[in-house]
Amino acid sequence: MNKKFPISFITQTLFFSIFCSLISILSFSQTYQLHGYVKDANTKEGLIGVNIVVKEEKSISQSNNYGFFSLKLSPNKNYQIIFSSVGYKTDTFFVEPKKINVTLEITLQPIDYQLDEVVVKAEQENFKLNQISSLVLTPTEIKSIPLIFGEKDPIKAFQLLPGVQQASEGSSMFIVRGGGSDQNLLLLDQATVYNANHLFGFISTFNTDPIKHIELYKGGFPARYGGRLSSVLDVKMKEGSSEGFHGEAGIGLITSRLTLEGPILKKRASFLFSIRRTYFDIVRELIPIKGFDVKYWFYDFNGKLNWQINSKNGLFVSVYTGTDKLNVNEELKVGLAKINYNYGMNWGNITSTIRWNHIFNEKLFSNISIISTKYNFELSDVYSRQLDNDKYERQTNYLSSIQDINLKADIDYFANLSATIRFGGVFTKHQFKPQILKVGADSSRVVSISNFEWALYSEYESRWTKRLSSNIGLRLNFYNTGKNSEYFVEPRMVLSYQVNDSWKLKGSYAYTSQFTHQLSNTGVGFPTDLWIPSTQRIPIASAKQISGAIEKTLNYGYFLSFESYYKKMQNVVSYKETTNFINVSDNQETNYWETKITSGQGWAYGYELLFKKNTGQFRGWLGYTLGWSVRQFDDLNGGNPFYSRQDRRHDFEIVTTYSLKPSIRLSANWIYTSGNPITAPLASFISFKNDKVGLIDYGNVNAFRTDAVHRLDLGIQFIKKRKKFERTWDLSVYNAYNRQNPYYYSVETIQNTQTNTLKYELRSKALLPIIPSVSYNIKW
Amino acid sequence: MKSKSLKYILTLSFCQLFYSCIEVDMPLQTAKAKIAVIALLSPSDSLIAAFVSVVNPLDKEFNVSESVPRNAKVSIMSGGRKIILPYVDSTQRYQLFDKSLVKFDSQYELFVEVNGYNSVRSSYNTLKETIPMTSLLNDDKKVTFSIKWKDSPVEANMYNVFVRYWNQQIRSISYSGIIWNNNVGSSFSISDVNLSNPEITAIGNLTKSKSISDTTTFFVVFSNIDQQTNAFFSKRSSQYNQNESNQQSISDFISDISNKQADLNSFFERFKEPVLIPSNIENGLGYFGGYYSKTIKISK
Repeated sequence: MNKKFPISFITQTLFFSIFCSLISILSFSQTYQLHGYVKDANTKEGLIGVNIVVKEEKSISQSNNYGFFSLKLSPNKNYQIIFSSVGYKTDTFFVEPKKINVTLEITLQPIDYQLDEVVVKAEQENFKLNQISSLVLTPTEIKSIPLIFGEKDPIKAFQLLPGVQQASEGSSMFIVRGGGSDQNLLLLDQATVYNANHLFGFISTFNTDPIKHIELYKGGFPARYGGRLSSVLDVKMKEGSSEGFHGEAGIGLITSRLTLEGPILKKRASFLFSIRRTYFDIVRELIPIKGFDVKYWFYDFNGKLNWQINSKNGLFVSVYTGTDKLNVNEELKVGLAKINYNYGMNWGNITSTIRWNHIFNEKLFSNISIISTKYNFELSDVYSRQLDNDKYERQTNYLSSIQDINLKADIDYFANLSATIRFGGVFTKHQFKPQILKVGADSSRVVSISNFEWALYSEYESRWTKRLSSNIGLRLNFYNTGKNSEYFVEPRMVLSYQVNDSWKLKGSYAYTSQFTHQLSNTGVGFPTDLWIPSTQRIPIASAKQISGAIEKTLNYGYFLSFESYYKKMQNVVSYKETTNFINVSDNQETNYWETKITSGQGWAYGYELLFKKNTGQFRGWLGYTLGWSVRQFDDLNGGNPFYSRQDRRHDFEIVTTYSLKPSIRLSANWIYTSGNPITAPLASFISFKNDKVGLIDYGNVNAFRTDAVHRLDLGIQFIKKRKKFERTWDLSVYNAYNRQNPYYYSVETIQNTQTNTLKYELRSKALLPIIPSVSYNIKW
Repeated sequence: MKSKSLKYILTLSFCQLFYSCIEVDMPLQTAKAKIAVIALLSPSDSLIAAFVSVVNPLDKEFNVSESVPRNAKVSIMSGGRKIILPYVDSTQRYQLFDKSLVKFDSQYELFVEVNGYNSVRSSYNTLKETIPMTSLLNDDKKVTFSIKWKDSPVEANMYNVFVRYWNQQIRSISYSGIIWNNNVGSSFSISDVNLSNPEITAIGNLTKSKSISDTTTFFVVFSNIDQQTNAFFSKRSSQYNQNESNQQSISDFISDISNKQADLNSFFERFKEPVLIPSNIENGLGYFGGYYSKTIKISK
């Protein structure tokens, strides 16, 4: 779909939806636009996706990503308007539009986890009209699920939903519908997070405490999102309470956390900051080991300032920074020489977003953002040898980084009760440094690539009839790959048909493209995984995805959905055989790294089933995914297709929470995932006389499938409400029956001296046995 | 509603299956005990040699001394003639020099039988003979070598040319110091993939110094290997380095790193993508290929 479309066609198509809406706008007259924000009553945070039902018009619409809504009503009628959202008490307002000429502020009262009847009502109405393949988990839900090390990690929670799997045991890298983990767009307050891994992938960079809303799109992507093939994880941070000072703190086995938020400037502004840090390094200091020292720590900082300048303008500044640092120091004595070996790595992200919300008029809402993001990784290796006064030292550093600056504009136009238009654009400048090698003071091997991309999009969300609605969009992406430029025209469409009160049918088509790729030797989220741009030699990846769904809302808060998807990917990349992220003696040619990479195509298809109960004492879900993921590269496996590392045939999960009492909450998860294909040794043979090493027969690429992963996680929370705060003791057990799930495989040599024979065995190594955790949390 | 939903699901499933069937010709494997053969034919040397070894699947006990069977029946057939290759203990190979059997541009069938294993076979067509034209230009400052030949369009060839001479200064045979087609390197290599002109010329320049004299004799070594055989040996070499590195423990690496920088590179071999070695041996592993190499005395 790239480059083949003439610009005139692109322009015509891009603005087709705007014309459609203009027609619908002109068809109405004598109307009044009721508009405002829906906010949390306690913190005055804007609420996203609140359902707004105008009873007299039998219409339903939703607040936007900033809590803003606008309803086109007749000035001469009285209306009953119902606002409902999960976790909030449903509120009904009786309005006479002609008497209101200001920006409204509707506040919804948060409700306790236990209050069912209100939630049931909200949940039944809480369906997204024109969205398919999207998953939302609230911070409360995430915090009630037992997870590894007791860390309430949103990505780990999403991995328990159908269509989403962990890249490897315990990893916060995730794969969606058979796509690579680099095909997931991770957004934190609109900023791309390139590496969302702490602790070598065991914990994600997303701290749940400062998160307001988190949503994962697996398909049917709205046109406002672009740049990745498989999913969008959109994380929005809280804006900070402007009503009073609140906070959360917790002490766990791995990390401690503190979040504070409160009003400033007479409630016209608010702040929020949240920090999290490990203390393994501090504990390590207490245990002296002669000649050997290992230190590791990571931290996260999330901060946000929010200033409501006036009723039409709001300014937001949000920052995230997080770093991991590992250092190993070893002293050896070889003969009379003292040898010191010091190596380590550090990696981290810094993101910042400045956002300006402006209401042009009651129908037109805009958001302008300047965003920057940076991910960098450094590997260092210092060797020194001292013999009397003769000292030799050699230092090698390997660095890799990616830095983006974005300018983004999003505009929402609320045409009428059944039509909303969204349009906007984004410009991104990338600075890639895939590899910089410094040996001593010499840093001649610096590879730096600057390029840019921009995109324009338009969405037309409409309810055509009482039953049929759609979100039709178009995204135009322009990529500059150095000397060449490429256009991609990406149609997006979601159709939704409400069969009756409980049944709904949905279908979608999405064309997506991806300009940046990540190369991984390990597939488990190591910081060594490199981000690289498309270049003249490395083509831009693209995918077409169709999906269909049937959904049923049942009584008592039950919900059932069955989805199927088919995704065809072009120009996905992989390392060639024998290559890795570093080659010290590589060719000195500047763009030599490009020759390590090959591109091919991929297919992913499958079915997903979700049966969820959202309310009551007993809540949770049951999910099942049957999926296939195939790749084909001319340069790999003799050009034959092979199952990709992301291929998981069966993925089954049960997630449950049971509120025994208001103060005691029990929870349990059980997951089962088929093994994934890897390239592993199958046999060995020697190939010449006195061959001591031998050759390995791997069969084909990914010919070996690892053992299935399954485990049970259990948790119990003791909640106590005090006068000024609420405390929670959180006890959990990860992998309760101590299943030895494979993390990696290695070949072991077994020598039998009696028979003078050898045997090679491929053994799976488990890293995560039964892990009990405890944490103490308070909230005020 | 029920029937409508059912119809929808069935239609959707049908469409999906229709679109999604990507055939992966790869049943997930477990290796079986079999034979590996690496055999080469060289018409220029009149040589046929085959190294036969036993492939040991993981989880199966084996005796290292029995990894190279000495009692295999290795036979080669061409033009209706069949010859059994004898085992040569010094090379642990089954090999034979036979001028009348090993020829250019001929079809060969290889059969290997070892007791207790499925017999394996393969076939190979030796390359057509290419005779390069050579010339030498000697002036005050340099010696220029010119080697010209014509590529055979029906073959996938990989040519290599180098010049061998007696280096008076270091008193040994030397290959280096020659600049080939303006590139520094000890030899000139070219593949005929996407070659626009079948006429190939390699020009080498050697600056005059104390290393050579007016009486120095130069020998051009011209070799040609078919690209698939070349790919096999190149991958074998890469995998071998990788396997060697994987056998090195991290503590060995740390203690050895002081000795040579190259160890760092070797250490990172373990993080490389595995190298899969191609095979053209039916029922077994390995490769049956060929090459030839000609040494031509070059004079003015």
